[in-house]
Amino acid sequence: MITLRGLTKRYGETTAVRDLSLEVLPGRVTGFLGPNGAGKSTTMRMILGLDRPTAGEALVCGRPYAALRNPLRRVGALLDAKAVHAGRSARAHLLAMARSNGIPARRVGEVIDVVGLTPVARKRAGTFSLGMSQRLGIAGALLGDPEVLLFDEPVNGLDPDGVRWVRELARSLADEGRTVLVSSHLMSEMQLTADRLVVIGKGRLLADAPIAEVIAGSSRNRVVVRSPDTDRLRLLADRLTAAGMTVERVSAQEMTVWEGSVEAVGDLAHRLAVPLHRLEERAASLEQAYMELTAESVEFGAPAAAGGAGR
Amino acid sequence: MTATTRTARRGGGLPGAVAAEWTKLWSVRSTWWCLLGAAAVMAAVCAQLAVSHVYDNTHPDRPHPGVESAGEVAISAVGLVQVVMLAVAMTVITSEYSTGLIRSTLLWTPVRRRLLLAKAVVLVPVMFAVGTVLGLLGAGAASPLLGRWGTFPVPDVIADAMAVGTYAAVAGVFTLGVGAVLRSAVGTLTTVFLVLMVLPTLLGAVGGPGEKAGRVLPSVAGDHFMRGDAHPYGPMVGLAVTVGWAAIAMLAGAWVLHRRDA
Repeated sequence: MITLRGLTKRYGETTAVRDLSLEVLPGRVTGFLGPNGAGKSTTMRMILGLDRPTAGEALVCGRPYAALRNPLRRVGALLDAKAVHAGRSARAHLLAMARSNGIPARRVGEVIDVVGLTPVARKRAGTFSLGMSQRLGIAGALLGDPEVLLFDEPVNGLDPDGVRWVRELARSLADEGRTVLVSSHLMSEMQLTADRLVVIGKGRLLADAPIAEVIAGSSRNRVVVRSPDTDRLRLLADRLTAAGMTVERVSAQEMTVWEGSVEAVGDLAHRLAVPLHRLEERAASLEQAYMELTAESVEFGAPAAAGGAGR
Repeated sequence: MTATTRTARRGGGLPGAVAAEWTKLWSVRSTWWCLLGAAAVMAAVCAQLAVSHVYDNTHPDRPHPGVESAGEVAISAVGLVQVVMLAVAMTVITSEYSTGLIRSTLLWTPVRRRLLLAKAVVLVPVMFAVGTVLGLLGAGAASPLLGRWGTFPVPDVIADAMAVGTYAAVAGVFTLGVGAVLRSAVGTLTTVFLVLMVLPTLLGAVGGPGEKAGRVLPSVAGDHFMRGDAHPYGPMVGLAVTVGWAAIAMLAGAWVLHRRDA
């Protein structure tokens, strides 16, 4: 379990993370989202004791990271795949890591095997591609068989096979009852991997909810209605508008209803005897829901007209 | 997982951090290159010093230093060779920052003073061994060239070599502390070079109060210790002064490491 209480980080005038309080619970994959510069990495670094919070605290397994005895056996992290010595072999890197926390040396061979680096285990890490470095980082995170795992952009540089492998790994780790926090920019990937989402923007908490709830909260959810009877369809549109929904006539025979449910529209159509050829709910994608949440807090965005962040 | 939690109290700590640092030190080629380079420079400088010693004794217009122990030549060479020797001590900390490894290392050993202490615990015996071996190597390189102007009293040469080793160990810890404060290899090398080599020469050239001030510099004090000089202070005072510098550098390094974000 990861607990943040009023976590704040200021760099001079800039506030990177502002009063962040949340709990990341075991047994599920928690996605950690936010635009560039939102404070995701800073938050992860504070959880892992690399950066000192200006205020508040970050606890893992109920204690500050630095207070854990043999932290690698409680918490595994992939922060920065390039945080290795280019001249040291993958095996020696992991061996030093294992020794630092009293992890048996045989675990090194095991995790190298798990991430598929066995053929290059004795090669210098400096010769690795980004994808291979990423796998080495994941091997390090798994080394201590920890109950809490943090992955910062784990699929960076991985091929589609690797992406799927990371997704399945995160899933299986959560299914084993571990706490898994994964940050990513890839919404489609998050939609497939995460059970719960934590969204931050400009250092503030924007959402902390199950993924379905985040999507349900989007104004992009809509109902498409089609009828051959244009008059009755117009009548239905008027009644829906009167009921507080937003209706957009796409054509004489089709309209889109916002802020309404497929049940409400269907029931009303039945009462007005509107013949329906189509009644379809179109859910927003996670990406759309995310864009709405973060529209206000994009730090390095293109101008709104060009970026179309509201769509 | 419960098994892990139960055994998580075993191992690790300072011994774990020391074991990790030991593994890290010997698993990169640069360590070996540094040591090989230091050995080559030591042998060359000792040979050069031996040749000029013979020249001084055999030319009437030169001072006539007389017969010298090969061990003394090795100690004289330390003044020039120390920066090369200390390169290993420097890379132990500066390579952490230049490669980005520090962000991994601090996850393994998040207690920062423990990390710095572990690096020192590894460096002290390594630098002692390196200094001792280089001292013997230098004496061995000088001896045949000294000819009848040199002696090779084995117990004395061994004692001299071990004195070089002791100085290398203490200066290594000093370098580690400076590296922890400055983080960059160039900055550390420049600072260590200035403090150990340039400053003593400068202050010596000033003379009077400058020279007096120069006596408390780590390399000057270390030289007193290695030579066993009684004046202006005893060799053990010299060692204590050098250790004091190393302790201050380590405290400063630990403070900076603790204060700053990685």
